[in-house]
Amino acid sequence: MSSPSRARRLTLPWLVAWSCFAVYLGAARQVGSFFPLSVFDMYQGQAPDVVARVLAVDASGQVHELHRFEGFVCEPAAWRLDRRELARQCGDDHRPLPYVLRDQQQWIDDHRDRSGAAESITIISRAHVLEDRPGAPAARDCVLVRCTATRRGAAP
Amino acid sequence: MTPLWRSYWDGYARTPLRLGLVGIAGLELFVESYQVAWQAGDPARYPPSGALSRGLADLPGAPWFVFAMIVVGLVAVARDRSPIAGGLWALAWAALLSEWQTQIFGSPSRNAFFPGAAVLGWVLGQLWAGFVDHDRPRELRERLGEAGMLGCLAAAYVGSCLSKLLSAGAQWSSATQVRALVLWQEPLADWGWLLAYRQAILDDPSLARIAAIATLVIEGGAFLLLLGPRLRLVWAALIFALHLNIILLCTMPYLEPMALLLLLVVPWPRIAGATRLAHPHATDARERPTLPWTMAIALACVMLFAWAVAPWGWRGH
Repeated sequence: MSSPSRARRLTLPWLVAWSCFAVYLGAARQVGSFFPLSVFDMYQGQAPDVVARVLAVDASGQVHELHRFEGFVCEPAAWRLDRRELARQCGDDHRPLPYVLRDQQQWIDDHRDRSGAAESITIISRAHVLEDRPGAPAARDCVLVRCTATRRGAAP
Repeated sequence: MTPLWRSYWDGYARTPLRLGLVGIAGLELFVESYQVAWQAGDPARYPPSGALSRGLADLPGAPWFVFAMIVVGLVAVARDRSPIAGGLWALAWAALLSEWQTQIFGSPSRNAFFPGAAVLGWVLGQLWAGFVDHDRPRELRERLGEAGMLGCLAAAYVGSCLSKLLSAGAQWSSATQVRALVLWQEPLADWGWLLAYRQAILDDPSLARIAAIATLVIEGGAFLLLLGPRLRLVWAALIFALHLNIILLCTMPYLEPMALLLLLVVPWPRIAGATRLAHPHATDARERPTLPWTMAIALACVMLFAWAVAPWGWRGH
């Protein structure tokens, strides 16, 4: 295509779109995230080879998300999910995402001590080792606390 | 000769596009206002960490006042009365809300940034039209507003890809990345098929690697949204699929950009059988790709603004 014909194909909306594209991209790189500019850097960093998440294990050994339960009664009663305490207790591999941990603590706080037929559960931190081989990632569990809780949806 | 820019909205009134943008932005900022009101009301869990959040915490109903101010701006945009001033007004109050949330939650809600970017693009396009044609015909303003929206949205995705490559380099395409996200977020699921899908990604490094590479390619290729409408539709479908996959694997819904893409790329006027404008804006002198010096200054002001607020910009992950 000759350059004059290419020039005729360029239109004002095309220039507006590409200018806004370049300006948004350039401005966001300067500031990081300041509304409405953002580099959208969520999970940009290289993930570690070991990742952890707090889970609940029932009496049969089956693993569940914490939000499958309610009416938590834990011993000691003052026990809380704390990232630093968790790493101290279980080791550096046990570092869940801070906001996920905070949401889980909030769930426990908002669903404490409901009267009902409770079952025993163990709250654990499960560290998964990610290797470049087929098969389920190896898991290392660390017991955090033992509680009683009611399965959500179960009859009181 | 086919121009390099076309849109399914060309030749039709863009009123639904304008109202859709305002609706999506308004709904998302309502959700953010609700979150801020709820979080600010629970300082034990969400302690204020800066002067802004400490100062606003003492003002009852402050998040809803901020939202009301946002609505004032968005209504101006929706009614096409002072859309530039209205858009900037809404963006300024939304920026305040976002900073507040950053100070109490620990990070900004990136969900809101997508409609924010779209409103910014709409405003820049409208501004450009005013510099090109002092009569400011609505059709030209909204045609350029649409182009600005797409430009900013495409930049959001390409920016996300760039962030990953600049931070982790090629390692972001390793088998670890997506598997780590699944395990961090929510590896278990109530539905058997969903659990099986997540487990398949966790068990097969090749699948996880493909998912990571596809993420980089789809985000990085988002500049293709700025070409013809068919390619735009195809690439938006890929981005849509990417978001669906992120929801399935990581339970992270980004519904706002999905809604914006649906609004922008689907040939709604044809589907709805809309009537073509009686005198569609023709490709004439106003369509020549010109950058008035006033617009160049306006664009430079955006860069200057970013530089000025850089100390307050949030940088995290």
